[in-house]
Amino acid sequence: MLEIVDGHYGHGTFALDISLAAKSGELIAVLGPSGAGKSTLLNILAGFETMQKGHIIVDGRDVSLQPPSRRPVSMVFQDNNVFPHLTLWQNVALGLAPNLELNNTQRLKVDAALARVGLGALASRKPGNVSGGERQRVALARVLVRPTKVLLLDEPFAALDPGLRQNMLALVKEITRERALATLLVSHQPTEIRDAADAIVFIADGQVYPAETPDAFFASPGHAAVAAYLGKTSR
Amino acid sequence: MKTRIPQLIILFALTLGVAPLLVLLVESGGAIHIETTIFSVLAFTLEQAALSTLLSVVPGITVARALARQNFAGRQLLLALFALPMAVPAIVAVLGVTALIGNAGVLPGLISPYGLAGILIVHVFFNFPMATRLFYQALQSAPQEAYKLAAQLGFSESATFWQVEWPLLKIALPQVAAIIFLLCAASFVAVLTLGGASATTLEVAIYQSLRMDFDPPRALALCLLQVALCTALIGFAQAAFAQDRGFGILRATRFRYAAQSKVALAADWFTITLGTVIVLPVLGVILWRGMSHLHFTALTWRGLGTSLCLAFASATLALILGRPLAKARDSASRVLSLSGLIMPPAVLATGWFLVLHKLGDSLALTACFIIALNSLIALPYVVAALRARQMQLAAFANLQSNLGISGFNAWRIVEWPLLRSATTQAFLMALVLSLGDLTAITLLGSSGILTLPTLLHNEMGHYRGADAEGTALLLLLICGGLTFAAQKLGQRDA
Amino acid sequence: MKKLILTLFVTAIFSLPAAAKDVLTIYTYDSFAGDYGPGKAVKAAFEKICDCEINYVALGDGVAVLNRLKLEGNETKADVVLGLDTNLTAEAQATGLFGKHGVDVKQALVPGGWSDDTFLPFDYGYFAVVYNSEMMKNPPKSLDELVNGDASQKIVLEDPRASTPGLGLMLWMKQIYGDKAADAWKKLKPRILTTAASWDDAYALFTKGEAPMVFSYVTSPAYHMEVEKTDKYQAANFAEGHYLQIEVAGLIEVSPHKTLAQKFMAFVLTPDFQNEIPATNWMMPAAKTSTPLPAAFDKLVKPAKTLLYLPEEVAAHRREWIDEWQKAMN
Repeated sequence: MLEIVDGHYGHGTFALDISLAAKSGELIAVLGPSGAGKSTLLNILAGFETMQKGHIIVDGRDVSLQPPSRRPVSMVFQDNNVFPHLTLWQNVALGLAPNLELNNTQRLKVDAALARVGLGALASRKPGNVSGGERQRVALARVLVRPTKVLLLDEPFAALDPGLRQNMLALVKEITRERALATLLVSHQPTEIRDAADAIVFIADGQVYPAETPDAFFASPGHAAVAAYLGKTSR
Repeated sequence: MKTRIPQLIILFALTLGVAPLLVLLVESGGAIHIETTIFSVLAFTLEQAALSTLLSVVPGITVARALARQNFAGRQLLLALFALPMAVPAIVAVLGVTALIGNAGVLPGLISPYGLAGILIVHVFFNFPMATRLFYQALQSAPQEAYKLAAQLGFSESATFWQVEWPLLKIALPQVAAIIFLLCAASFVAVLTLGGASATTLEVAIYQSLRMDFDPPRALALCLLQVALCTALIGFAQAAFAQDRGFGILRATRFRYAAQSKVALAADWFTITLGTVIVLPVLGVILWRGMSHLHFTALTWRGLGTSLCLAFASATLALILGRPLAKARDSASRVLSLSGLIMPPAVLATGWFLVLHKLGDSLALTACFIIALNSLIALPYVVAALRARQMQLAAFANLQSNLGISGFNAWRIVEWPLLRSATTQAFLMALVLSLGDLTAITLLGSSGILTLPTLLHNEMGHYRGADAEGTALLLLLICGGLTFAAQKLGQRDA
Repeated sequence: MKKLILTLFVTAIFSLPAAAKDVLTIYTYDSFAGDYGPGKAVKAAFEKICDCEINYVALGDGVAVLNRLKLEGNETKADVVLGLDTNLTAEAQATGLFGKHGVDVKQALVPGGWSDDTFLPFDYGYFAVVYNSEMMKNPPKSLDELVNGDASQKIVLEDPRASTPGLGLMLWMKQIYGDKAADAWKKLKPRILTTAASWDDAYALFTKGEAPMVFSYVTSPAYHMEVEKTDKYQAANFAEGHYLQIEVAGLIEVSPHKTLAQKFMAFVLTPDFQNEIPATNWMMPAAKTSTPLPAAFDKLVKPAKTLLYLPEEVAAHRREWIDEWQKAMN
């Protein structure tokens, strides 16, 4: 579904070697110390950064040279996912028509997406008048209306309280399954995503380590970097 | 509880200017001689000001957008050059324009500069680059994510404009448009010298009633007419551009991801070239003519020193007053921040003089007058330069008050680091404006205070036109240096 | 804190050492007091004989000086006023601020003679149309020729509402054409390149070659001949005569330094003052000089007839005449 083989990215003194494989319907947590390149990985996948070497394959097609808008990829940021001057409904509608001119089918699609994330009643509000969690749900609703195959989430729930984070995580997982997406989620809460994630990708020391199951990752840290990250000392 | 000290200071300054004339108006029994020609005066004032505003704002937005999209080597230099017209005394700009398209110009017969066309060209020369800089700055305050979203959602150029850029421009637009409109409505030298006798603006009428007729009540009546008209227009502009809550951001835009079509690229470069063609030739004329006449006598140094002192003092005061005004969102504060342009300086100066001349006639008092008037005139620019970014800082208001950070500390710890580029830009505009100012000093009497613009006029008044060209160039070079320094200082941004 | 620093800063820069001597405060216009004007030399010469100090308060022009007096009234700080012209003396007289100058008016050598015992002339000049002889071979020989001449040969004028020469031309036209002045202005209109805000602006446009003619002074060509060594700029001699501007000085009756002020008024007509006029103010001296006039002054146009309204007439009709001019120009 999603694959990068022998990718390399460099910018100034920063370098990252990338190998990655994700199946559809799989929720992968991306962990690693800050500054390791978690966001960079997502930016590369979304097309905001370009690798000097290697290819990004989505569904068998090479998307490396495609601009962000042509990739079947959606990214949800930590903040500023919504335009403050547009209503929640309009913010979702942007996913279908950047000029906000929608036909009836499209309108129904927006309504359905908002309902799916539980925002049906708030559709006409502006982002300033809803909570942080609700703003992030808008971003998810927008993913639902787009022809997305890969979903990237860059610490999207960091600002939410733990209960809400779990809810949102569950929602992301449901969407991943329903839409058969390959989802990469950058998180700083390894323990919280342990149960939800299907696999964990760890980034440190300029490389992306191969995916492991959460149980394997937490049970026996394979590298000193992982141990240091998890706060355990390796024996 | 918010303190509104700057608002009160400005209100006090305005009252001090108007009250003595109001007393005279009441004493005169309200019998004011106002001719019917005042309607054609009003119509002409509004016509040329509206046209000048339109011709400055629309290209200002397009050029700012093109500059924001195209990152090229000379961009900072071009923006620095765009800061200079503000410092050019009106007559120097007029002579620059006639040197290009006048009867003895480089391109005679292209468009005659004598008449409305010439007035508009000079006004656009002054205001379009200023608008470009302010809009460019506003465009830089979008969060990076906004452009990422636009790229990901496949926004067309127009969608990017309407969804990402327009909301940012809208924050700056009412203030920028209001400044330009007021400036052009009050324009005097360019209007008279290029428009000829039939081009009478309200400002000319006010000047006439204060000067030739020495009829302060009539001047006040006309002034109140101008204030009423301008306030109504500003209120209308604000209502038309209702503000939305801005993005709360700390990391401003660095990249724009959207792939650019060849058409867009060509359009951008066409726009930038066009913008350059409006601004650079006049500056070029000043450079070319002044180069061989650049001279440094004792007078030059004296003028330079005094100009810099007065300008730094005026700009500092304007910044101190302007910072809280940029934060305020009520319409009274908005009108107050524009008062230096709404209220004819001649009326203010007359009123102040009536109240304060009893305190003495010292140089210090005259200098204070000049600084006060200049900072009031510079205030709208300061507020315009600060507003877009200041609005984004509103998000931190609660944190600040929670931590008890206020006053100077708030500025030092929170705002200066975050608003560095906006603040230097604001300060620079006030500085450059005051450096080129002649209004305050002419109205209040120079009394031995020699600035570069007064030196320039002294030279012109004594047949020394060539020396005046050298002085104009020096003024421009100083402002260029300051602009460059301000850009360097502002760029060290987080 | 910042404001305190500011205040100290400003005071430090602009404060002058306190004067021990008597200070004679003279209100005048910028270009007289300015560093290129005669003010500096006049100050030095008078301070040599008076054991006092001259303090100039420089304002935009004669009109601004008069307005300043009107604003201040009896509280004026002026001891002497220098630079009003005869178009303003009636209004200046009406303020009641001026006292008798006490100088023998026979010393004053101005066209038409002088008899005013309040104001004393210090220089004079005839207005004239100055033309560029390289651009214009057949300059107008009369005001009428100017008004009715070839409209493609333009002239730069000054606005009578904002400038003294501008007012001068308006009065000149009125004196020649009387009730038909409005018609004459309408006829002249196509010849006017533009009406500048001030003499400075108009003259700059002219010297840049924007038009072959400008409204200025008979003495203007003298500067170009003396300093720039060129005689391409010439004044046209008009058959109807030329309108005259006489610049005057007056003393303030309530001045605490009245004796000193009177001494200065006597000084105005002495050669030490008058010598400075021709080559710095570029006007004609109003009394005998001890040094000969610059050679170029001999080559200047000598108007056949002097045109001048009485100050009272100007004061009474100026407003109405300006309205008439404005209507004609619209």
